[in-house]
Amino acid sequence: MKIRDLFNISLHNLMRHKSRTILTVLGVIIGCCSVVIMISFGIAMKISQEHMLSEMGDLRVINIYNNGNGSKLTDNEITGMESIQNIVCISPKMYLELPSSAAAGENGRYKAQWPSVAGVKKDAINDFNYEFTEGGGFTGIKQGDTIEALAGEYFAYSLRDSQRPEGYNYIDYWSYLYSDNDNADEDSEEMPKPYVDPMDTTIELTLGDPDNPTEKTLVKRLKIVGILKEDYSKGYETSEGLILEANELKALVKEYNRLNGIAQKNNESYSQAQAMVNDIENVAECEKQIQQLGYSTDSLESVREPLEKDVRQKQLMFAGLGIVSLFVAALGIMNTMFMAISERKKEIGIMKALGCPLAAVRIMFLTEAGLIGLIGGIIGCVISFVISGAINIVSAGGSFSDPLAIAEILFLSPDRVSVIPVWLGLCSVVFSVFIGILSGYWPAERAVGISVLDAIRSE
Amino acid sequence: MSEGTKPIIRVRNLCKDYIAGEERISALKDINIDIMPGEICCIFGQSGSGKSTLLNMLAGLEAPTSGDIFIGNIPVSRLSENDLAILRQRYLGFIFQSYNLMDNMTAVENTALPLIFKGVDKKQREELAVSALRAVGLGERLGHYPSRMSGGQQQRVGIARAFITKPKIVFADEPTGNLDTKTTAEVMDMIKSFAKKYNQTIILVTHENDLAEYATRVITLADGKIIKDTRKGEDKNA
Repeated sequence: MKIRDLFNISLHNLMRHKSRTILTVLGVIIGCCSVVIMISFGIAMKISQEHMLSEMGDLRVINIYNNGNGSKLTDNEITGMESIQNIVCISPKMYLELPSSAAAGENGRYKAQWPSVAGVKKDAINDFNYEFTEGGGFTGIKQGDTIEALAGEYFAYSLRDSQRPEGYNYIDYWSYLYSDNDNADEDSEEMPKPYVDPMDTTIELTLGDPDNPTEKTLVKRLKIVGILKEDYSKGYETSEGLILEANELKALVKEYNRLNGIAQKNNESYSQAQAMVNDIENVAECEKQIQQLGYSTDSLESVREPLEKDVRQKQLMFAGLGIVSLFVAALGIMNTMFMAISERKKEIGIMKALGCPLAAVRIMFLTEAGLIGLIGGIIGCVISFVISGAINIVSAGGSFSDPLAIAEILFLSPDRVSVIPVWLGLCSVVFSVFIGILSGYWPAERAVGISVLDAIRSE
Repeated sequence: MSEGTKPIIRVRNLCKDYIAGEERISALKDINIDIMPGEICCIFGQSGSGKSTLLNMLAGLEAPTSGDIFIGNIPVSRLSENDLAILRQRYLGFIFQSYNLMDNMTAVENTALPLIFKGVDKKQREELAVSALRAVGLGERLGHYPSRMSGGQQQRVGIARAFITKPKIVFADEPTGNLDTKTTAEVMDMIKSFAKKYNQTIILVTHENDLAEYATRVITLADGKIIKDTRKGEDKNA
């Protein structure tokens, strides 16, 4: 028997009882919609959660601290931790804890007191994905006794003009960035320029307090090779501070200590280090291994994990709710098929008497049930997209005239309430067909088992 | 009539018991028949004589309690249900008392139904069905549904359907039971002429004496036993 003939007979039979078929299909449509919409809520929740977390910082970074009684974070220990699987890069993170100042311009006219000076490993700039607005990472090229450094995005604004009176000696970028620009004054259109361009000038870093007569200061010249993009998840130094290579910073501190006759600690350790893991999935495991070495750690994993658990639970709950209605639809299909079979008992008998193979009888009824699932699935999928779009537009708060804004709300915005990825649409159709065939299985077996004689006699 | 050298149907020691409640009822008792190709064989008997049971078993619609049935060399009583369907599809045709047409199909579609199971193309199927319907005199009613046709017309569709696959054997169970005398004669003539034309074997079950007239051989059953087996032109007691 030809597949096309089987298909035609099944379709024909469905069309014979239009209202019954429509009602059954309607059940599948509702079931399919409820599953898709419910799952789309879960997906949207997950997307907005991930978006939120990514704004909090890189999820793959682990901060490592000395916990006082455990192992010390020395260079050796840090190098040792590099061998932990899935860790891409590990770098000490040290801060200059001495009184210091940075100066630029003629005779150090522009000065920043107590700048935040951090030291990291050279590779860390690349491996931790520091972003630049200008320039790039450490080149490693020595130029005399000048030290390479990276400046924070707004470092230049922290340099105050020592020749102006207090209160008028700095460029106010802050109010430009963060004030409401609703009643903006006429000249606030463009970001005001700082006094100096750090890429274009040499910065003098002074360690020690020059006003303290008992203290000897150490002055070093810095060459700024890159301006970092502000990223508080990486540290305040990316905003108004400076980053040096950890070795250089360590050397500076050593030199200062020698100058002032301060005893060097033997086993010098860092207070903090950072590790970059290759994938979010591996963060928890890496954190555990580092903790086992005797350090305290923290990462966004501690925020992410319970959040993800929560979302997963809600997703399951939503999907469960949706599946209940699809299950009801499956019962509807089964009921319809049983009715069809008892109505068509005689026909099935005639077909078998005329030599219709059993497999064909089975396939015929499975096809019918599958078709109900297919039609319901396709329509349900389309309707789901429409409902999902409507929910998103309504939840985004009303009327939009700009088609771009509508497209943003429908397809891109992380604040969407309902997100139906293409795979979900396809899966819903496939799943509906599967449910149809599954609920048609038992009725089809009943049809196959019908005795020819009984059927023909049942007049 | 043409007589082959080997019987097309062989029945050996066929018994059929029904269990009704506590009782065991013997519907057929030790039946032995050889039917030759081309015979128009009438199984004749009163109702309850077991004639329909015999036909159902010959056609593989019902399983015997004991004994064997062979169509050609095929052991019908030992085939699976699916193989029986294939056997019917390839070699057997059926004409029923109540016509058993599909209500939702036209005359052409009803006639072409057995060809669907054989996997014949739609176009070829319809051509064959149309010529079969013309042959039974229904050329004018090709697109009619059974509900719009008289009993005689419906039975002629049934005949067209039974013969369309050119089966070796056609089973007819009281084919004229619901028809008037004039139509009965028409229908029987038609069956007989087709059988002759294609050298087919007909197994005809009836309780009407008149129909036996059309047969070349009459097997009379009573109480599940063959009491008489007559070929035209001879008279022989079983």
